[in-house]
Amino acid sequence: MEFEEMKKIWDSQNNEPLYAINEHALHNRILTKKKQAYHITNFSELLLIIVNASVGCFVLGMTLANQNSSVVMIFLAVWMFASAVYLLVSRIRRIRGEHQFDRSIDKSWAIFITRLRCLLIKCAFHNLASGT
Amino acid sequence: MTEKDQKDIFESWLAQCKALIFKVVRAYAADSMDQDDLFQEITIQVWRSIPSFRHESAVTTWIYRISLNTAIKWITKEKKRSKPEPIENVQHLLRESGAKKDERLDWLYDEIHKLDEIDRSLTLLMLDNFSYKEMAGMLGITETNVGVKINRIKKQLISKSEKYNHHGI
Repeated sequence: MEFEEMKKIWDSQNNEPLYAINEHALHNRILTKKKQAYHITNFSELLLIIVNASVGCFVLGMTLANQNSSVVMIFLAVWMFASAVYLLVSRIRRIRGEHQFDRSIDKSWAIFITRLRCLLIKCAFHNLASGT
Repeated sequence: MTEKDQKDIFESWLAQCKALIFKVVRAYAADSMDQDDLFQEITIQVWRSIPSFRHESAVTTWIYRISLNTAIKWITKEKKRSKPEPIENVQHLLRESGAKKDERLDWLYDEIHKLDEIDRSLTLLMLDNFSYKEMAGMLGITETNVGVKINRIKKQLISKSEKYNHHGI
């Protein structure tokens, strides 16, 4: 077979595509992805807000209860509170933004952000453990 | 860009370039479940790419680039994956259209499947008349390299076709 003949065979697909798209199923898949992304983001944000705020309270409580309270521990508690507030503000902005433009399709981005936040919280815990 | 604008563009691109996407899907995924999975990945990437499309290239070139990059990433990921999705949860995205089957086209796809990821992309682009420059730009290799690979692939396909015993040829 000559290459030109292969090309003709290949081009025959342009006139009559071999598949038809099940648009209903495609729509369902995209909606499922959106839901998954929404749940991952929602859960990770809430978890991080709660964890940051709780750890901040704990560190601040322990520091204030101790006679020899260190500035580092107070700074750490403030840092944890600030992180919780930042996450809360980001969450509110994200929820508002969803009504303007649909970003939830970006599942890989949501997963990346979730992993990044998990890493940050791990680092915070590590710092906390090494500080106390 | 509003969601409605994005949806309209997506639908028009899909109508315009579905044959192109099907070619990539069939060249990279062997069975119908994998084809569905890859098709879904490509359509999602195409959807995501709409806001960043700057009209610097033709829509077909843009979609080919996205489809090939997605397919290459997908096949790498697929090699590592061990646990497939349960078959009862699968709702197929692609259905056979009822178009007349051409055995020679099946043979051509079989041969394309035997190539590595980059050579597959080059074969698809070559069969769809893209220039060496466009191919080089899409795949991130030099034009000289494209030329060398294309010549090798052409020779390989022609020599294999001689062994392919079909009375229609």
